[in-house]
Amino acid sequence: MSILALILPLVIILIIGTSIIGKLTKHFKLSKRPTKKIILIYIALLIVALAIYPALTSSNTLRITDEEIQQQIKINKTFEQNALVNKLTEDDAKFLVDEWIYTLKGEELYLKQVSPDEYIEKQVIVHWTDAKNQQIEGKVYSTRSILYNMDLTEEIEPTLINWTDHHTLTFQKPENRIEGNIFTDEIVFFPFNKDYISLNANEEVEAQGSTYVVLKVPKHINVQDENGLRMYPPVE
Amino acid sequence: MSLMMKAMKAQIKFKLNAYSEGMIYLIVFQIIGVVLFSFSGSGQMGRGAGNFKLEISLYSPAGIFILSALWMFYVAVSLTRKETRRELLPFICLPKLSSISDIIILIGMSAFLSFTVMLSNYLLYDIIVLFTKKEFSGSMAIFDEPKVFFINLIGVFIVSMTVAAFGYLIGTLVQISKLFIIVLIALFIAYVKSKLILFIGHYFYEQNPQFLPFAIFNIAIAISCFFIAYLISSRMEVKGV
Repeated sequence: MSILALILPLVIILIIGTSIIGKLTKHFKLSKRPTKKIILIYIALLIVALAIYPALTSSNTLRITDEEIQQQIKINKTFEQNALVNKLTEDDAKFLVDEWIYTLKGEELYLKQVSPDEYIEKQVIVHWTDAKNQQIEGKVYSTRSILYNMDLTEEIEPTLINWTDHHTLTFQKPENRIEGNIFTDEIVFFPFNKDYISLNANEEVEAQGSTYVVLKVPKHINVQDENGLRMYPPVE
Repeated sequence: MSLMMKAMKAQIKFKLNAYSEGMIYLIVFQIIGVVLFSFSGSGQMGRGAGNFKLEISLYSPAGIFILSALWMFYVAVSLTRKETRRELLPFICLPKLSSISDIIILIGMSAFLSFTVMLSNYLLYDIIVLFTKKEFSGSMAIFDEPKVFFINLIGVFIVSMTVAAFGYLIGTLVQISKLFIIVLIALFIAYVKSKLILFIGHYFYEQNPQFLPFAIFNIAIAISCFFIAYLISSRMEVKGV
């Protein structure tokens, strides 16, 4: 679509709007005294609206401060690093959402996506154990997600994880459709304001939580990762 | 000089009184905006991230500002009308000062507009919170980020002043000849089709997304438009009825 096609409707609205206001102002004539009163009442109403805003906000807002976000970004990163090197602390346990022990049949463990075309983040961390049995110990963690100063952690369901045919762990993206409301003083089309329109991901101001599946697998079991779901610790 | 100032003061006072009715229409526009945008906000955006799809309704003063800017444009154009000038002529002792007082009034109206636009957003918020169950992330409100509020207040003031200056210049040109309507439309289309608009957009949104260059650019345009309009209108003869 050309710029002309985008701007022309605005020009048409401007012309129509201007003529409507013109017609309105010809039909309605107000005497001066009520005019001043109306203006004063309106200003008073706006000031009252501003004054009661804090009272309404304290009970309504989900706002997380920028400092809290920065802190959460660090906590999320630390969690991931700890999980990768198998050094999860007691603090990290607060992200635990599920845990189980599964007895595998055979010596192959398959990690599979239910819908391979769907994008799912890497999330499986495998730690080897010296156990001789077939038991797989699994813990599912979900770190906090804060976007646009909103804590969405409670609303985001972690990846759906299930065992099928005794040796396959399946992963499915949940249907997470979250609606949020942002109240701001920013005029969105002013260039010096936040770029809300494109809603680009910005790692500096967002704590994007993830699901992590930490598996403890005996060494003799072969893990087959067909869809690239595994995460590996950084190579030193 | 002091006599000129006195005359100017008297003109501004008189004109403000005469045009104060127009303020009511601004209020009507803003209330329409508040009602209109209370349903779905002034913008809606969506984004997919990781395991979820996020849909955001944005409640910002942008929509109310557009409606108010429309009013500003209309007021600026209407000030240049022959009928308006004729109505005021018997009360104006120094017609040459008329344009300057018009410009001062338009600047004053821009200030009123910017103040009410920014605050009407809070009226919108209060109505939504009191009458719906919506929850908000009050990310950039005056109590959290006063700097954001004031910088946008000044931004609204400057842009509405530019809109007023445009309106005033267009109105003045059209008073000389109606042919200017065609010329202005042609110029507008040429500007939109040219690479200049892309250059300006790229400069302000990509290279320099800062307040200062944006403000200076708008102020320069507003001053130029007002100055040209003043030069033209001071040479125009206003004939009484």
